[in-house]
Amino acid sequence: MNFPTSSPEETQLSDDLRQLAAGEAFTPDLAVIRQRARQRRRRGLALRGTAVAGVAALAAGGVFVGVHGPGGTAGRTAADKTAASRVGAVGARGAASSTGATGGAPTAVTVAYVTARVKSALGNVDKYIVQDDQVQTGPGGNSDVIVTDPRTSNAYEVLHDSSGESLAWLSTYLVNRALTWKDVEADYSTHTWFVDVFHAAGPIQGSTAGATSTVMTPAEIKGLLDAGRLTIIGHKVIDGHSTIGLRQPWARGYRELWVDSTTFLPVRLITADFADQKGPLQNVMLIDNETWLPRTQSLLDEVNRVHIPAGFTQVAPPQ
Amino acid sequence: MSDRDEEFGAFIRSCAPPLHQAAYLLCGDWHLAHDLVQDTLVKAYQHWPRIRRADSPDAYVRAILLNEARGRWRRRGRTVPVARFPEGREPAVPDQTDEITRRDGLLQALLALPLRQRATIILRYLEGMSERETAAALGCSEGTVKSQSARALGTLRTFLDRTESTL
Repeated sequence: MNFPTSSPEETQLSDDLRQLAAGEAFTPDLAVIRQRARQRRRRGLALRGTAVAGVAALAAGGVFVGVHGPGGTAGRTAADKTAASRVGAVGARGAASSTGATGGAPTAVTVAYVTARVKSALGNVDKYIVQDDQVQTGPGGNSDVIVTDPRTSNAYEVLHDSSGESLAWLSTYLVNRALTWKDVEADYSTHTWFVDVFHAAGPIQGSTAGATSTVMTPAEIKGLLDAGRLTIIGHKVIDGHSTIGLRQPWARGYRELWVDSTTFLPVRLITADFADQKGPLQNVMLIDNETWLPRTQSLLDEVNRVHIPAGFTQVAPPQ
Repeated sequence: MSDRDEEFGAFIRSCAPPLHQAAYLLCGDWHLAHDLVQDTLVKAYQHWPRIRRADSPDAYVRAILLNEARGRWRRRGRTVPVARFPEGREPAVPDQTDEITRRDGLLQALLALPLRQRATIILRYLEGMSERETAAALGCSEGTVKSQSARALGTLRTFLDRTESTL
């Protein structure tokens, strides 16, 4: 049976469909959509990390490099900054430039040597508080700062996107062996805050350390190194650190890990994902710059304690 | 409110109602349709800088909706609501019993179609899209739209013929 263009049958079908679909009104709420979009971005990054890390990563524990980030920089004291500079300077040799231009003093190192040294360095990350300054390019791009305590896996985030700034405190714990994630968020655009708690679908084994962190765990970095297909792509100076770069094909793009050439702690992680142009996905490049801060009391408070700004009103979490 | 939010707000005020209608015909449930559209708009907000530059932001958002529906269709195990009554609406004027029965039959037939065929019918005959626009929204060729339409219409006609014969 055919329905020629504009046939009576087609017209009838169109009328019937409009009648069937008429009735329920729908009024979109932009505030809810915006909140959910932010929340979705954080959860997506966090759960992606969980999926990659798996049980082995949970058992290994400890948080390491960030893939997302809030900042907490507003409350940072001068002493912290000075201390951070000191830590940042450790191992920076021959830092002739801060522009990051490829160059520096090439060293004859192999992939095997660099990966072994990086893995060794990752064993000491809980001596620090890790600050991750992240920039995401592409549609919906944002710039965030995440400060993470590797010992507790708690994170404090300052999120910036086109709609403004918000603060978030993330923590994980177990309830009947089910991973539970608590997210407290304060939104400066609405002067509201909320607490959102959600649970994993089933029980997990091992520690929750880093399980839902938006930053990569040491185990994830080690996994990246163990996955092979790495090449050394050069040397450059990043934020005063002389670094060595490794690159690995990844999904639809690549990952680059730039590590301090003396301490072998990560300085920059680049995740490039070039999505299919035809689909509703986005091309993104995440650039994470890592700073290894001393564990001062003010930093520990910033990461591990929730501080809702004065005058903010509590609201229900976005559904 | 930021420029982005103002622009996006204006966009969703115009596109959300028809999107909601299309979502209902895709899933046959107003509550699920509401969730589908909400999720679609959240994704649209995330990708707005890209969507706003697209040739047709409307088609782009419909593509997101169809992807969302496809995902839920898989997760729900392809269950199709049956013997449902129209929810939350009353005809503006008294309707003939056979008209109500026929439209209800049409909805059941529509929900029984494979998702791609259902989407094709909705885009073509509810949204009034051309074959070219439908192909763009579905990410397929115009030829595929034609063949999917023909199959879907054939199934609907068979179903409606059966329904009418029982009236």
